[in-house]
Amino acid sequence: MQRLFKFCYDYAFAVILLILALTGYSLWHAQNLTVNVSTESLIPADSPLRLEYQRVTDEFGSDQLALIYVEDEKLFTQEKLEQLKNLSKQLKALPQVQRVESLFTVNDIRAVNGWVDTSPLLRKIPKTDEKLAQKKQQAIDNPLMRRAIISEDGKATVITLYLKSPRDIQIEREEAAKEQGGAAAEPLEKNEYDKLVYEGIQNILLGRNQAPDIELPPGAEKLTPALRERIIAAKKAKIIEPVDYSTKFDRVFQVGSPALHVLMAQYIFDDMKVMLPLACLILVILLGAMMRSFQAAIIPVLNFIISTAFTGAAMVHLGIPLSMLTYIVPALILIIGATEDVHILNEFREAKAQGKTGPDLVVFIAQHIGLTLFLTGLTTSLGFAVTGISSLAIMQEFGLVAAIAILSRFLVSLTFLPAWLRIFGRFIKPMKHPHGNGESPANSPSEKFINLLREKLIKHPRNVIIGFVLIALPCLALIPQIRVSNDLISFLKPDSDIVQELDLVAEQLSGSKVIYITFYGSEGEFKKHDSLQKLRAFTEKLSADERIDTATSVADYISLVNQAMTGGELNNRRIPDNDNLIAQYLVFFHSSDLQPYVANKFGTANIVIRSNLSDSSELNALVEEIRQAVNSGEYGRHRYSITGKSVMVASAVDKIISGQVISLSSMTALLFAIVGLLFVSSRAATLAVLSNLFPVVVVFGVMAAFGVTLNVGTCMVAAITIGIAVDDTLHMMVRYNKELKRLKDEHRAILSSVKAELTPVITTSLGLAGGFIILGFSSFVPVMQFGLLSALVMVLALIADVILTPVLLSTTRLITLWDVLGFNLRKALLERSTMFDGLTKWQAKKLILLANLEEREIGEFVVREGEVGNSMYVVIDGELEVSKKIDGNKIVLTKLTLGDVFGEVSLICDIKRTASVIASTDARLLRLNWSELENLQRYNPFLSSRLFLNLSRILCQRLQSSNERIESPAPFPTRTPFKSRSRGQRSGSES
Amino acid sequence: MMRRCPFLISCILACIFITVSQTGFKKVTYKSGPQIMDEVVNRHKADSELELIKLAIIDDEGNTQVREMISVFSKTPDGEARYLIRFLSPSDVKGITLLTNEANSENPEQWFYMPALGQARKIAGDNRSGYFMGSDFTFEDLRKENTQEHSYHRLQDDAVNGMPVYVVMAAPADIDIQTATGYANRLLYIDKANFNVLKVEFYEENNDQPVKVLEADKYSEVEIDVDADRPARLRMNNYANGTVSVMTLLKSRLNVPVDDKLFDPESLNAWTPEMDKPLLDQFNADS
Repeated sequence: MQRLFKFCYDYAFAVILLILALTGYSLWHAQNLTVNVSTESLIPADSPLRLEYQRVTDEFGSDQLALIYVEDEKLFTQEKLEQLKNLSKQLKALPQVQRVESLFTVNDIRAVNGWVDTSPLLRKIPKTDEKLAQKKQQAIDNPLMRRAIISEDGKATVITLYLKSPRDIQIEREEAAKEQGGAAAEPLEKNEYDKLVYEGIQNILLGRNQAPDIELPPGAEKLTPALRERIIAAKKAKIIEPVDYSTKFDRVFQVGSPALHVLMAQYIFDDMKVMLPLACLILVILLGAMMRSFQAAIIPVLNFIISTAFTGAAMVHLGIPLSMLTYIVPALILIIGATEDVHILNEFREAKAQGKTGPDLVVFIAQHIGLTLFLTGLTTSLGFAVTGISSLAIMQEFGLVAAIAILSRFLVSLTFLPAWLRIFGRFIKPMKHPHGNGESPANSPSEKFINLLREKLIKHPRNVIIGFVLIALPCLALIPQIRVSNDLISFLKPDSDIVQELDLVAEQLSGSKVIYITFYGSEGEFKKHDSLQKLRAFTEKLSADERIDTATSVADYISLVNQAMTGGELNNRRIPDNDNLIAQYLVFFHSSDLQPYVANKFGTANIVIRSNLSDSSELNALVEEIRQAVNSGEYGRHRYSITGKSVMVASAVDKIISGQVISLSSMTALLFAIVGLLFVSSRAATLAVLSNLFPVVVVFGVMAAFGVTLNVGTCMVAAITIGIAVDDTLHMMVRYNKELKRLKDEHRAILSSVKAELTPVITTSLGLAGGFIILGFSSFVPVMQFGLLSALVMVLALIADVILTPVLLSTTRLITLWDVLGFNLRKALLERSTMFDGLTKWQAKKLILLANLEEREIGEFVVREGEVGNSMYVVIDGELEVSKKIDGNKIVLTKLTLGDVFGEVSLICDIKRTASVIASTDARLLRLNWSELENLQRYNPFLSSRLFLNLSRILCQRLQSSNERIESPAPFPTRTPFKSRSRGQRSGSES
Repeated sequence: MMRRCPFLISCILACIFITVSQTGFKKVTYKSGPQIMDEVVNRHKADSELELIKLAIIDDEGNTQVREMISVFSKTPDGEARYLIRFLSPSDVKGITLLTNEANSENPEQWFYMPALGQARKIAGDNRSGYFMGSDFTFEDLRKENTQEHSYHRLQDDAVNGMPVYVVMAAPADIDIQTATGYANRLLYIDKANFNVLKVEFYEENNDQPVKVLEADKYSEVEIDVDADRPARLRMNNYANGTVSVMTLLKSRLNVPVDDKLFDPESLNAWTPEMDKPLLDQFNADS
């Protein structure tokens, strides 16, 4: 890390140029980024419903609709209807349209002079007002048309386009390409499909379409000119010229999934165009104000732009579109990256304050927080990568993109930033009160806070923890109430045009959500009266449900024919009891008329439901109720399926929850593993997890309390929360570890750490919260919710990081993995000292590092005779001399070397030191006092139990040697007793 | 010898005639669209027709529905055309009958009889673009070509299955017919040798691809009574739905006497399966 920083600093110009060139290249590349907000990516790839859906839509036709709503006070006049017919014809000619349902196509099954007429209502447009009024009434009276095609007042109608699936269009394109000589067909992107449909329709509605060219039939070039003119004239007369239909009708617009997707993509883009720069600006202002340096404040934004460009290019390269989730990634880069940068800049300012110059500045940063930077980069990237473990394509893509983004952001921080600091770092002011070099004025807010922490909080960790638990518990209780929603429409503000249009269509006519209920029976079964009567009863039950706008089955058609054939009375709108009659009624229909409703020689029947339920939980509830109704057996016992794109999307809600659980638990597990490994302590890991879960729990609680649904947008907030909180926690922990080594006291170390980290943590948290609040003004609901919740998270994480984390940390002692690995423990020490009896080398290292290591220079006293002490010592390194003053003369009693223990009696009871111990070489000592032993008991019970056992042994041996001494002329303690084996060896070697 | 003379002369004359006609002495007139169509109609006209037809409707999944029916065509003494189509199988639709009188008039009279309902119904209005009994044929597809209702334009000649054909575009003659018909125009491919229609392409407005294509073949294999061909198989490909309907002519008689009572709407109500027997027997009777 140091080397990398130094390298980038030394070759600053080259590094900056290279990165800028790469950025330019990436930006150029990123222009090809596509947007896809279709619901396709919300359906699990392995969904068993998918196959069923494929089968059902192959059989009964597409369930993807584009609706063209036309409203006019004088709709049923010849002029308006002619225009409507032209519009309908133009729409039908669109290459993506499979089938059109309109006043001109739907079977108007009715009795006419005792006969049944199944031809469409308006095959011919009547010329007299009287007949027009009659047609209007017929349409309103027809259950197949009312609300499906025409509003109850007859002033609004809808042209329903059943769209070919993108797959079918792709196949058509391939076939066309084959015919034209084998050139590869143009691949059809999902978003391109929606755009094609939306714009095709929009162009027709607004008269921006081209009138079709007049194509003469083959061979026409050999006709006489006069004849050719006639053919052209004849054809021309039939061509419908483009017309701006918005001027022809009171109201005309399109709704349906293509429009929704296209408009939503537009919303996302428009929103991001305003919101991201605004958020950046706020961030710059806030950071600038807090760090009092514009230069410093602009760096996170610069890094954000660079890594966003990289990420964009990577997305293009991987073929990942900008989706409802990946569009959050830029915000993520901004937020998480800014945290890192502020930490780096903070160190930079401190380094400056300490008088460092040149490459030393960046080396200082690397030394101080290099490890933390590496860890946070790693954990956050991994954490986001883990969110990709989902069967939802949208989640997979998000996980991958977010991981790439964070990684690239991290790399930019590590390379671009040192290079940038070389050139522009001079404009960044040094820190005013770097820790250790002076004190803040006692009345400054940060000092007041530190005082509060020192006086109140750290002394009563239990109270603080109880306080946080009291906040978290109600939130935790609220969590089950969070509603999950997988609904595109709820992403748009209720007052936006498209939502109002959708509602209008649903209110006047029917919603654009299609559900297919398919019953599988034996061949010919749905030609029989008993099956049909049950089907009709079920369809009627469904129609009566107010959540359902229309429900149609083959039974409706047969009932209508029966009504028409038996005089037209309403009570004859039923299924006759005569199977032959039903079979004979069916000859009225072309197989395509009934294609959406029956298949497999009347062995399969399909009920088509139209609804405006956009909330996935409501839709799921409806599907569940339908399922129960079918399972009751009241409507026959058949194998059945309930499918439709909306059903699949709604059922994927579970996947959002499981995705949440996976990503949260894996983030937590990762955090636990990394902290546990890094600080070689499960206790430290638990503390870190606890303080990071606090903001998550509270955010979920707030979501529940305010009725914010868990959707693809808000489900990211939790992951981001942890991502941010972990960063600050790790910074805090590493700092604490360092301060502990310096100060040897938990409370002082934690206060010092908080003091050092307070500024960067507050700066980043508040700066980011400010930036996120800006997103709260977005017109796109998930962005708005995401912004506000993230801002809340920032504040919560701040509170947790400056109060909960320090208080929790102050109850433990931290050593890092590197400390243990880097600690050179001599093997002889383990073999020789009873103190380490039964401990592995690793445990001994941990014990030594968790306790206080003291260093003494040559000639320095460790204990003085006659003083009261409470510590015992183990010699880790060097040599000491034990001496006693007898009659004013210093008598050296013995020498202490590696592994020797002294002062153990003072540890147990307050006795004055009986001799002085002076370092005769530079020495390192392990110091243990009673309170530290108690602490150790808490952090590491196993180690401490071993230690107490060994201590008892030492005391026992000491007693033994005292007894021996009583009988001997030498009255003072000699050397520490050694392990019997080693003592034997040693005495052997000495003798 | 003398008896042979006229024969010889006539043979020689014939040879000369053939040679002359083949070498271009006789000017071959260019046939216009309407002329071709007149020829088509003339060559295929008959006073009465009896056909036993198998109708197979095949959906896009390959499911096939087979119906057998009998079709009777006859002209009244004043030249008005009458049709009767009756289902023979499957059993649940047996006896369903469609009767059309005054077929060439502005307002043809149609009756429909359904045995399960027991009462013949009069059909009101023009139903020409409606599908015939759930098949891909519309009523107008099954009618004899009415040259009064269309204007015909001859296009460049082409070939169908290697046979040289005339190509004639048929367009509705006036706005009323244009409104009533389901098609913007049709292209008819007519065998030059015998004026049999081999293929018809049906076009809708604003669409340069045919919505349906009718293929007629096996002209020669039909048992015939007079010098007029009938296709043994009509295959209608419906590109709009991906379905296909195939009419196979199982048996056919032309210009045989047909009982006038068949075309009386009143008699429909008295239908019993036995009443079809005389009709069916006629296919096997010698001409």
